[in-house]
Amino acid sequence: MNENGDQMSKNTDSLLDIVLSELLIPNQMSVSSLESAMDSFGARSIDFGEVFIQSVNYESFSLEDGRVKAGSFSQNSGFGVRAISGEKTGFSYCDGIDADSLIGSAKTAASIAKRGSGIKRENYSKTNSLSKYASVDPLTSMSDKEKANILLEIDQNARRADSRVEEVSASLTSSFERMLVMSSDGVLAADIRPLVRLSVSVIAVEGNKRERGSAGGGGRYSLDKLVSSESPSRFAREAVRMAEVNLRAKPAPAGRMQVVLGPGWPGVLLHEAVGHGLEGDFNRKGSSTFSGRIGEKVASPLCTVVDDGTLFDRRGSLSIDDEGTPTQRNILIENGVLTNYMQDKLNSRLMNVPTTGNGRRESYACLPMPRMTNTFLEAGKSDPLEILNSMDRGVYAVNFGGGSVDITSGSFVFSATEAYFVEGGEIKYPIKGATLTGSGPEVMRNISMIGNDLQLDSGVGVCGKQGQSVPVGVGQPTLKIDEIVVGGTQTES
Amino acid sequence: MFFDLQKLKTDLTAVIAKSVDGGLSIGADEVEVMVARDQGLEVSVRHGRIENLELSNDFSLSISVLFGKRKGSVSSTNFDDSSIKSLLAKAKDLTLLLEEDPHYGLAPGGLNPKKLVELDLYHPWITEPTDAVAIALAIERAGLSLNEKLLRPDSAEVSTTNSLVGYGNSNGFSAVIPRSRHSMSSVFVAEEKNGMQRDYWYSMARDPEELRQADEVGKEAARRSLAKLNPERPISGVFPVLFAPDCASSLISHFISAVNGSSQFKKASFLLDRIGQKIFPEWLTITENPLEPRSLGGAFFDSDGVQTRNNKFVTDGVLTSYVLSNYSAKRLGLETTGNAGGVRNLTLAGPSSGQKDLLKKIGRGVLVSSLMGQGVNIVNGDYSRGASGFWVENGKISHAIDNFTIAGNLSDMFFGIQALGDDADKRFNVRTPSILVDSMAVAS
Repeated sequence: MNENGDQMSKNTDSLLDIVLSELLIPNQMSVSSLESAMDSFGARSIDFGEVFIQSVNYESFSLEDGRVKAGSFSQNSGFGVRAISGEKTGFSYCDGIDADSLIGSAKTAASIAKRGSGIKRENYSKTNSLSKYASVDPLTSMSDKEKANILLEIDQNARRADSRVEEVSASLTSSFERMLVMSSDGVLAADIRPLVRLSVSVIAVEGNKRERGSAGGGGRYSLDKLVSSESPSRFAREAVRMAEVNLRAKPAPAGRMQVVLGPGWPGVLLHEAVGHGLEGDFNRKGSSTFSGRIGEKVASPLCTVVDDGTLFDRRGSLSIDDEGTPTQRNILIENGVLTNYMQDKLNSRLMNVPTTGNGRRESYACLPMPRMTNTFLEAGKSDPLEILNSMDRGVYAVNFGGGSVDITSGSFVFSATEAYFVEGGEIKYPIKGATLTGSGPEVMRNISMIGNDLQLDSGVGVCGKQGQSVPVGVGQPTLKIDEIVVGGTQTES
Repeated sequence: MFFDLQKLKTDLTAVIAKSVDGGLSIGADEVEVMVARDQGLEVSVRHGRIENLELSNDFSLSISVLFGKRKGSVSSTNFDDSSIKSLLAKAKDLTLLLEEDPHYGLAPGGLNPKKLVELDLYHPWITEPTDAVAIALAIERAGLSLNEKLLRPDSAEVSTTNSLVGYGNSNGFSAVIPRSRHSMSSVFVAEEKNGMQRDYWYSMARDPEELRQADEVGKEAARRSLAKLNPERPISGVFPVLFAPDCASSLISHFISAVNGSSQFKKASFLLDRIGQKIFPEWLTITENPLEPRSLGGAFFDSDGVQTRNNKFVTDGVLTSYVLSNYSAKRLGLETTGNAGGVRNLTLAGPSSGQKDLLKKIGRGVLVSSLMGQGVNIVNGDYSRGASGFWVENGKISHAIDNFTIAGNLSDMFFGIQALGDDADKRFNVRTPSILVDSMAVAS
């Protein structure tokens, strides 16, 4: 290991000590309280036991009517205890952290899960992983006055950018999470996770037309880093530009046609069309359209799709997942061939494959599941302009609201919020937001050109699965889909 | 496993009082508090075996303090005295930074309920995990019995939650209400040579007596999954669209979003300043009934502590009221409608017909049974969503369809409602029957 690596693992050691002292000592607990909880699972009755403790401080300031007049702060902490035998999971969680309820919950969880092959008392080894972000508390990284000033600056910039802007709202949120996990496979790991996000939304009015534009960004760092790396006024101008484009938008066409997607956030395509379908739980149960298809061609040979939780400072990144497994770069599809699913501990054990660092949970009150981190399509060789020029007639979509997927049938949708009608390789005019729909494997096979301009999104993604929300990232280069359904109102018949 | 209701009620009442008094004692002019305590049990089974068994224990406390016209809001999962104290201090700090809003402030005390109204919302059900498991297994067995060859159970769940929710403010109003909520749900995957389909069904109620039978829930989920097999793509064009009750509920929710006070004062609505104007056909009336006993949306005060009432939002097709909280009403120079936190038990009234008649009315078109995606723009009314459902030909369901979109503008869609079904779905807060919209663009 190189010098830098040693340095980093030392940091991880001290990080664990910091989290242990901050989460346990104020609640009159120590590592031995966690060990007692592990002991109370009852050694012979289960296959796997885990204690997860978490504390999240969250703060939000928002601006409306040109004034910063709403602010909120929350402090949530608690623990979740899980015992697994075979496919059976017993889970008990409680808001608040105290040793007695922890042991009570461990007993309850174990009694639910009972009849496993037995866990051995392990010597808990501290997980060493490189930190993927700084251990900073973004709430205290800047004075409240400065936070308010960022929002005021956005308001002024947005109104200055275009006189048709009638309403501006903006919010700045910061969260500071500390998590600690101990499990019967010998893991004792902790993480400190900052997360900040800036969001801007404007409404511009012309005559009786009224359109919204929005922009935002963030990541796992402090607020001063957010402000220094991305000028807040840029978000303001971007939101105004989008509203202005939508004021000129004409009705969207309807039917199957060529679609070119811009780089960055349109990568929500990958998240919906293939990402969810490659999560281990669905594939263990055989309920995904991609089940049992490792080694098969599931996309155009141009496509290499990656889920990478290790990217520095990214919204979807984690140093360790919520089960204490270090995150990694997982190649899901390589040159069109399905290579890997994303796994948590439960599903990797039942499918007899390695974990991939994708075990995530919304909070202590939820069970971990295989989830995405930062999911993107690798860059191709084409010049983005050449891709656009190659279109006969179709839609060029550069911004999206979001999407969803039925992993069983493979049907997915994603909704454009900024798009243009293209004819003869030229952009003709902006069109109203339209939903694009298709079947994942079919659309992935229809990708015929991939640009050399890979971009990740600006850090705004939230992914929902079975009621649990987690921050994620997406990305892609410009790409061309030869045929997909565009859900406009202008039908040809 | 469940809590001692009386003792907890006393505890929460004390937490409210401590928070209100604590806020006033640090100089706040007004204080508002919400507390909740939930205990729940949830079981899921798959292939005849337990998959997950979860026990939950939730505490939440939210406090807003007003210093003049400055407001700070804080929340926590801790109820103890020192947490309340530090939360209040944090709330005070926040207000020092924030700017004033002349419309902030509690609703006038006169709008708080004069007395408690018993809505009968608390009916504990299962206490033993084994009982929940037995029901979940029965759901799965019943569904599977429909077609063991094509069906695969994905999950059958039983869940029960008992809660106490409390509200209090510095005008002297305070109440702690016990509520329960129970559900049974089922998901099946149906598979044939040319692909898999999944669908689900569930039943939910405050009183377990009002839940559907386990057998019925499992069979309905299985029936729906089987019906989706072998989908085709519809032809593109303009057709009548029949929204099944759960999809129709989302449609009416878009109307509620557009006439919500905050969309109005932010001027972020395609139905801006439309009071007194015709939005729907003249035979349609939309009301809410928050005081219906044992109902999922039942509440006699809203999240501002204001007494709820039977609002009529649409009368004979005409928009007669916005959906207002105390704050949004003040912003618009109006009176609150007791809708802080949303509408409760919203109901559509008008002539209704059975599904058979509605399909006959369509002749040729689309029955939408599920919707996907976020393609709804409340600012301009543009609507474009992914859908799956059934093709209707000669007034009858012909075959399953998927991978298509339906698009239009909500203004036209509301005005173009042609008929209602007789199948209103009480599982939702927005209880809609099937809704037939005269024409939408179908793309595939």
